[in-house]
Amino acid sequence: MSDALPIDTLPIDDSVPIEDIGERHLMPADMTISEVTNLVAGVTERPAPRGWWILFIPAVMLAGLMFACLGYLVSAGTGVWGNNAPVYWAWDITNFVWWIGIGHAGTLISAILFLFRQKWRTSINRFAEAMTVFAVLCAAIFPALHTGRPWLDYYLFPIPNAMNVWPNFKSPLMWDVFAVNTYLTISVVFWYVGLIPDLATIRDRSTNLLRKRIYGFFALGWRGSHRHWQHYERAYLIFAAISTPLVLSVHSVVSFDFATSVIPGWHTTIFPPYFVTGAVFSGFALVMTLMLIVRAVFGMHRVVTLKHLDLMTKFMLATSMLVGYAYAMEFFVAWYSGNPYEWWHFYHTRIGLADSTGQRSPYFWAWLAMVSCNVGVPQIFWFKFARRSIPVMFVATLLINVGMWFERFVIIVLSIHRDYLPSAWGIFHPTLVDMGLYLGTMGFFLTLFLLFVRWLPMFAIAELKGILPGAHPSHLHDHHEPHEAPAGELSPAPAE
Amino acid sequence: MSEDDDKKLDDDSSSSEKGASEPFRKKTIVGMAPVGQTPKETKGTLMGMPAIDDAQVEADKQEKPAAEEKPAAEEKPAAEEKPAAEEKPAAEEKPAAEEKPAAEKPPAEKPPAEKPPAEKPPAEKPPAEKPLAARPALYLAEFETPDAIVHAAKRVRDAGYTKWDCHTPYALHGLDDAMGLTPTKIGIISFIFGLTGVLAAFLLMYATNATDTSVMGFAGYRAIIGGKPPGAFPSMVPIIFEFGILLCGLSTLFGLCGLVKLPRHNHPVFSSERFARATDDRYFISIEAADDRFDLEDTRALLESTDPSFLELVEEDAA
Repeated sequence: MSDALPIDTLPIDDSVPIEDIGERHLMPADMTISEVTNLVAGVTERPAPRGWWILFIPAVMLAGLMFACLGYLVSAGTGVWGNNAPVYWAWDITNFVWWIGIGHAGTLISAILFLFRQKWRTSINRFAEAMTVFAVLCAAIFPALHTGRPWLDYYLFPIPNAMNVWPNFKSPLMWDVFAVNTYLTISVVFWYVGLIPDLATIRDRSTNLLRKRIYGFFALGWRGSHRHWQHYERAYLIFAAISTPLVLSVHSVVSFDFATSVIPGWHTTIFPPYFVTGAVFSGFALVMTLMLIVRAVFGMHRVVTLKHLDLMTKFMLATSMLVGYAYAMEFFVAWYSGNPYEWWHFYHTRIGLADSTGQRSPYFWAWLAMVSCNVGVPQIFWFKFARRSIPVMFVATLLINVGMWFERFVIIVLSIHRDYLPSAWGIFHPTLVDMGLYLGTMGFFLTLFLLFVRWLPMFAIAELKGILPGAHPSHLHDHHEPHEAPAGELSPAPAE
Repeated sequence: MSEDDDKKLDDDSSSSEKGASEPFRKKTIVGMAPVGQTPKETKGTLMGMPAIDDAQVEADKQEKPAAEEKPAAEEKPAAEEKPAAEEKPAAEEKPAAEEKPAAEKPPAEKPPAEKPPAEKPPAEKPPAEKPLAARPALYLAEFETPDAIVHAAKRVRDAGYTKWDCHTPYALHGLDDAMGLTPTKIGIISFIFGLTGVLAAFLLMYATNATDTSVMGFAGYRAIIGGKPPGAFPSMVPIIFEFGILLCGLSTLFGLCGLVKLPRHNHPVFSSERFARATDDRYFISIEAADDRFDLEDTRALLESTDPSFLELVEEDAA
C-alpha cells in the first residue's frame, strides 16, 4: 500500500472504466494532479490571451450601453419602452424569464448532477455556477425597472414601515421576489463555498504579495485540513440538496406569474415543468456556447474534452424533446379543453391560421422561429458527427438561445396582444431602448463572465483532482467500488 | 499504536518493495531540518514561492523564550546540517523509474535512529539579538500518494493523538475512517435554521395578512385578495418554501465557518515553505505541539515510521 507511486507518475490502467458515465476516462489518461493546478490556476497568473481582449472590449462597450439605457429609462420613465396597451409585458419580462432560465443550467449542473453523482459535471460546474449568478443579476434588472419607479422597489420587501402597508403575499409576483432573491443568494453562496479551496490554491501559488493577500482574504485561511473537508463536503451536499428543489421552484414561481392569470395561452397547468425544462435547455445551450469559446481562447481542451461536450449535447437533445413535448401538449390541451378562446389563440396567433374574418396573426413567425430552433435544430445531435463537431455545436447552441428567447416572447407577447375583446387588441413594437437594454445586459453578463474566467479558477480545481484516476486510496477501489457501480447506472444523460 | 501495526506496516512495505529496496525505505524516512530550516534544495521547486528569507528565520528564532534555550553547543550541529542537506539530492535514492525530481527527496543520509539527538533542541538558535518566542508548533509530514497518507493517518490515530490533522488538495475519500472522525453535525444546524425559516415566513404572513393584531406598532390587515381568505395557507407555500431554503443555506454557510473555525488569520502550518503544495499535489499530516501526547522525539519517530517524503518541525511564528 505504502509503496504506491505518486499520482503524477501513476501508470494509468486503461482497462478501468469510470462506471458513472460508462466511459473509459473522463479526463485525458495522462492528466496529473499538478497539471490541473497549473492549467486552471495558471490562467489567472498569465496575461490575458488576445482572444480574451477581443471579447472583453466589446462586452464592456455593450455594458456601457446598458448603463446608458438604464440611466435614460430611470430619468425618463418606462414609457421609453415599447410596452403599451394591451402589451404591458413585453421584452422586459421576456428578457427576465430568458435570463433567469439561463441561470438554471448552472444550478442544475452544480446541484442536480452532483446529487446524481455525475462526475463529468466537475469540468463545467464552476463555470455554469458563475453564469447562474451573472444571469440572475441581469434578470433582476428587468422586473426592478418594470415596477416603473425603481427607487420604490423596497416596497417589495416586508419591511415594517410608517405607512403600515405590507406586501400582498398572495401574489405570484411577490413569490417571485422571494424566489429570485433566494435563488441569487443561494447561488452566490454555493458558488463561493465551492471556490474557497481553489482560491487557497491560487493563494499558495502566488508570488506577489498583493495577489496573496487578495486571494488569501477570500480563501478564508483554508489549509486543506481534512477535518474541514469533512464538514465542507457535507455542507456542499446540503447546498446541492436545497438547490435542487430551489431551482425547480424558481422557474415554477416565474411560470405562476402567467399560469395564475386568465389570459388564453397563459392559463395552463403545464407551465411549471414546461418553464423549468426550457430553462435548463437554454442554460445548457449558453453554457456550451461560452464553454466552446473559453475552451478555445484559454486552451482548455484537456479539461473540457469532447466527451464532456458530447454529454452536454445529449442533455440538450433530451431537454429539447421535453420542451417539444410541452409545445405539443399545449396544443392538445387547448383543443381538448374545448375552450374556444384558448383554441383560437393557438391556431390563430401561434401557428398563424386565418381566423373567421380572414385575419392572420402578425406574429406567427415568432412561433415558427421558436419551434424550429428549439425542437428542430437540436435533432442534429442524434448524429454522432454533430456531437463531435465544434462548429455544429456552436451554431446550434446559438440558435437554441435565439429559439428560447422567442419561446418567452411567444408566451408573453403573443398571448396578451390578442385578448378576449377584439377592441382591446394591439401590437407591440420594440424601441431602441428595449433593444439597447437587451443587448446591454448581454454585454454586462459577458463582462462579468470574462472577468470571472480571467481572475478566478474557472474550473473546480479540487473537484477535478478528486476524479483523476488514482486520486483516492486504492483500498477503496478494492472494496467499495464494486458496490457503487450498480448504483451509478443512471444514464449519463437522460437522452440515452 | 500497536506493535502489530508496526509489524504489519513493515511487512507491507518490504514485500512491496521487493527486498532490495528495504534499505531505501529506511533512508527515505527523512529526518528533517529542525526549526523551520527547510532544506535549501527544496526552494527552487515550490512553484515560484518566495524562498524563506534566512535572516527572517534567524530573527524568528531569536524570539524563543529563554526557558527553551538550548546550549549553544547543541545548535551548532543543527546549523551544520544545512549544507549537508543541500547535497542530499545528489544521492539518488529513488528507483530510476520514479520521475520525481531528486530535489524533492528528503535528505536521507542519516538513519532515523541518529536523528533524535541532533533534533532535540526544538529551536537551536541562541537568542543572539532579541529575546524570543519561537516554540515548536507542530510536526509536518509530507506524503506523495493518497495511499501513503491514509496509511499514516491510521498510525497517528491509533497512537492516540487528538490535535492532529491531514491536509489534502481535495477531499480524500477514506480519510474520515483513517482519522477516526465522527460524522459531521452540520446537517443539524441546517435543519434547525431551515425550520426556523419556514416558521418565520409563516408567522410573518399570518401576522400581516391574517390578523389585525398589532406587533410592536405594526398592524396587519385581514385582506381578502383574489377571493382567497386572509389566512389562505396554499398561497403561503411558495414563500414559506423559499424562506426556509434561504435560512437553511445561509446557516449552512455560517455553520460551516463556525465548525471549521474559518476565517482564520494565520496558522502555524503556513510557516512551512513546503506547505504551499498542500493545495496543489501533496498530502500532509500535522501533529500539533498542543497535543498531550506530543513529544519531540516520540512524535517524530512515529511520523518517520510512516515513511513520509519529508518531515519537519514547524515553529510558531514570532508573535
